[in-house]
Amino acid sequence: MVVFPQGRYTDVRVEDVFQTDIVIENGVVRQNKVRSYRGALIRVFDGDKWYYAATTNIDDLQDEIDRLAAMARAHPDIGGEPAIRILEVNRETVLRYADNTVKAVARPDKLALLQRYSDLCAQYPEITISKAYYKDTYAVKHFMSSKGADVCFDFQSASATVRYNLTVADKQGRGGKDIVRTAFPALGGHEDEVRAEIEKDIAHTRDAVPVEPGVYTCVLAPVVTGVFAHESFGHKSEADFMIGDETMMKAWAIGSEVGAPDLNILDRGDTEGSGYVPFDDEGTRARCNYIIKNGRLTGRLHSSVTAASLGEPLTGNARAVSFEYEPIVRMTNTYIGGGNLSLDELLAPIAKGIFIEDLHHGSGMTTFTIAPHRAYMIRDGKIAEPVRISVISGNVMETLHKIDGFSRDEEFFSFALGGCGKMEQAPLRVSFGGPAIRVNGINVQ
Amino acid sequence: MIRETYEVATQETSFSVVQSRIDSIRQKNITRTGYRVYQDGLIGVHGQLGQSTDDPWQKAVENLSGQVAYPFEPVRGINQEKTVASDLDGQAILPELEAVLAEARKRHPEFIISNKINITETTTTLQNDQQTKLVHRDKTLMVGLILKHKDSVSIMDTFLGYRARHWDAGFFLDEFEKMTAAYNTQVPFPEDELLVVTEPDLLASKLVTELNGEKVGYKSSLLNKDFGKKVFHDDFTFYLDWDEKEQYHVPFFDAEGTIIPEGRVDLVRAGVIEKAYTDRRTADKFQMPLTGSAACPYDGVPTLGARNFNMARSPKTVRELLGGRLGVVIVMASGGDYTEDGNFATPVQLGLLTDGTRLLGRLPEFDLSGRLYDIFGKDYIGYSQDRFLAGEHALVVKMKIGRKS
Repeated sequence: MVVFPQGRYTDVRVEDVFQTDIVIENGVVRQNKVRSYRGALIRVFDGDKWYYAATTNIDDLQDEIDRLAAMARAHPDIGGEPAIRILEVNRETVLRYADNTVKAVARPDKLALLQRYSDLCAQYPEITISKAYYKDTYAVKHFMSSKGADVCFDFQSASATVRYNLTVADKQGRGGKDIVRTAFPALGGHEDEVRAEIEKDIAHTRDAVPVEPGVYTCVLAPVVTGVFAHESFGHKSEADFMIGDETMMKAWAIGSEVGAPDLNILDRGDTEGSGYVPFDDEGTRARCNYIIKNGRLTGRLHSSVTAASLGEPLTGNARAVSFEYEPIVRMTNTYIGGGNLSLDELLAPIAKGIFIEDLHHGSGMTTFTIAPHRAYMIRDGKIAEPVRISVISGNVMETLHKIDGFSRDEEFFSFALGGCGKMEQAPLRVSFGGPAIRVNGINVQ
Repeated sequence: MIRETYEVATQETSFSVVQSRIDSIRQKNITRTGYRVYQDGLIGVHGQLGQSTDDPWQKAVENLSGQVAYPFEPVRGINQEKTVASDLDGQAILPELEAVLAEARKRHPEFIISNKINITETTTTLQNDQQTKLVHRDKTLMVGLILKHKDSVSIMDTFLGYRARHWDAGFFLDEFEKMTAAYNTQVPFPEDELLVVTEPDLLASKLVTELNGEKVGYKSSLLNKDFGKKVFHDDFTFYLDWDEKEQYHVPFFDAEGTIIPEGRVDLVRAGVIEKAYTDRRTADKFQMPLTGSAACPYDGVPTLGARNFNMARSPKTVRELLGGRLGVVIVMASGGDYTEDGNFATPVQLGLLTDGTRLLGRLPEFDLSGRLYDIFGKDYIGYSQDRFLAGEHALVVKMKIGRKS
């Protein structure tokens, strides 16, 4: 137990983390380790400044708290400060994975699982370099505050991933497949999916031709839609970009029409997956947040500071990438809501367009970008020849109005080897998804 | 059995800037130690971060059962220690930062400043029972500030970013002034062709990917067919660089303890592709020269990875490289990439017109594209002698600029 100093707001977040990391390269084990540590981030607020300390010296937490408190000034009514007044005081323990942790799985079993996926790659002579990664994390977070919050929850992720370089008819290519689940047993039995992915990548490497640059109607597969949602509008909805900025507040007034009438974008940390955050790093309970509903701006993502500053409710989006950092406003599980079309119906009206099936990465500011992995021309409503594309881009606020079709099935994804980056904090585990969508007026290079 | 530790200690003071004022201070003092044991061609590693009741050496020995082959002897009998000169003080700098931010607010109240200024000290130590002890210390200031104009609806409009080992308030304010003045001056695209002036990583990332020794060794590199040939410009030399004046937080030894005495390895020399970069395993497997390019997290097995790339500088300044023409400084170009066959394209969110001496104004958004072989071949102009870009040298190159209507 710790004693919180008077006249300051203080909270402590202790993280117990267990991780496994195995790498097989061209059939040879290159890495096989577990990592286990405890670390804590302490925050003290005096109404003027926040003071943080990251430490692994858990036995001396009290000393660290007292040291930070000495840097801060006493505030007779710190609880009345807007950012403190709105903080939730939850007291709850949610250990969802404690009976089924990856810690309990023997390391040889993890290695054997990964070996099976690695061996698949060896069956393809086109693959010149293969790397198979097994990663798991089981983490328990304990959050306590001077307001009386005391929440404890766990998180778990396990993944098997292959990445490969290809040489096909003197052309170079690359590809991979991520299998990300919340429990170890669910990682097995995906051999057919991995084979299918490899074979698509071989064909694409062999047959793709450079795209003719221009402006096209594009159909984005669900994984691309998810990244598009995250990059195009998710980051813009993070309210720390907005505080103290009257122009932004006017431009992003709640209720404004910001997209096509059928467009819905949501962020919620209460669903299972990489974006699962039942309580954020300020102890706020997760909830379902509509950012855009029927094309209109309905909300944004907040920490206590941004919510207090803008006079809006908390959303459960104050997150830190690890105990070494303070929480800032971040996404959790961000997705576009589904519609009522099939993929064929999305493609049908397009005489000449592009289908983006998968991607390398995306980015988002005023202009969003996606660097496609596999892309194909659409000709007369059908998927046609594969093309190589460096980047697709568009103005976010114009492009959201140009979405005119949504497939009915939503899919959700997590990247096994990466995550979201924002300033110095990366990679943060997030998930994303949505249906396939049709977007007009995309710049393709 | 040989025992070795690989330790990275980080002390950091981080200042968050919100609405142009210091809003918070974060302190960090964390030591990460990897305990390595070598036996019978295998390596066992155990990492320790923070408190633990485990015997780390015992854990490392247990990890030999992971069957990770590492048939190389650790380095023996080398004792070297280096502390890069720096006069930064994370405690004392706060009033100075508050003073420059106050001055910035006064000079340009139309900009909202946010994000981070960090002072980071790292100490990297590799030590083993073969009489080796290598220690490297570096301490730098990282300014990474987002500038947003009050009339803009963008998340960020421009950026002030640099690294240094000495705090210079005058330099900070000069760079802030240059950037804000240029941003505030909208200029149309000139009729004449513009040259591109940029930090090199934007375009050299593909070279780093394709000169990876593993990729080259497995015949999977775009450049495999070009080794020993002159495929780039006469003036283009690309090398691994351990010069502390050019690199930050790069120890003089790699994660395997390899030291390159010359402090430099040329990968591309005068346009000719000569070498791939390698760690010991890659060098051994593919019979390539060892370039000291092993990297790993504190608790990992050393593997191939490098970040200390550089380009040979021209004797000319940016102004001389432009040769009377105008250029565009790429300030923000987010999201672009190379295709597998070496075609590069990116949108440029912010480009500033320059004559090589001053930043003349802000151009409309545009697209940038080019081919790897051209960028560093026929279209390569040079890498500047002067530190034109916030204290760093600038790559000047000809590329296709696609204006948006």
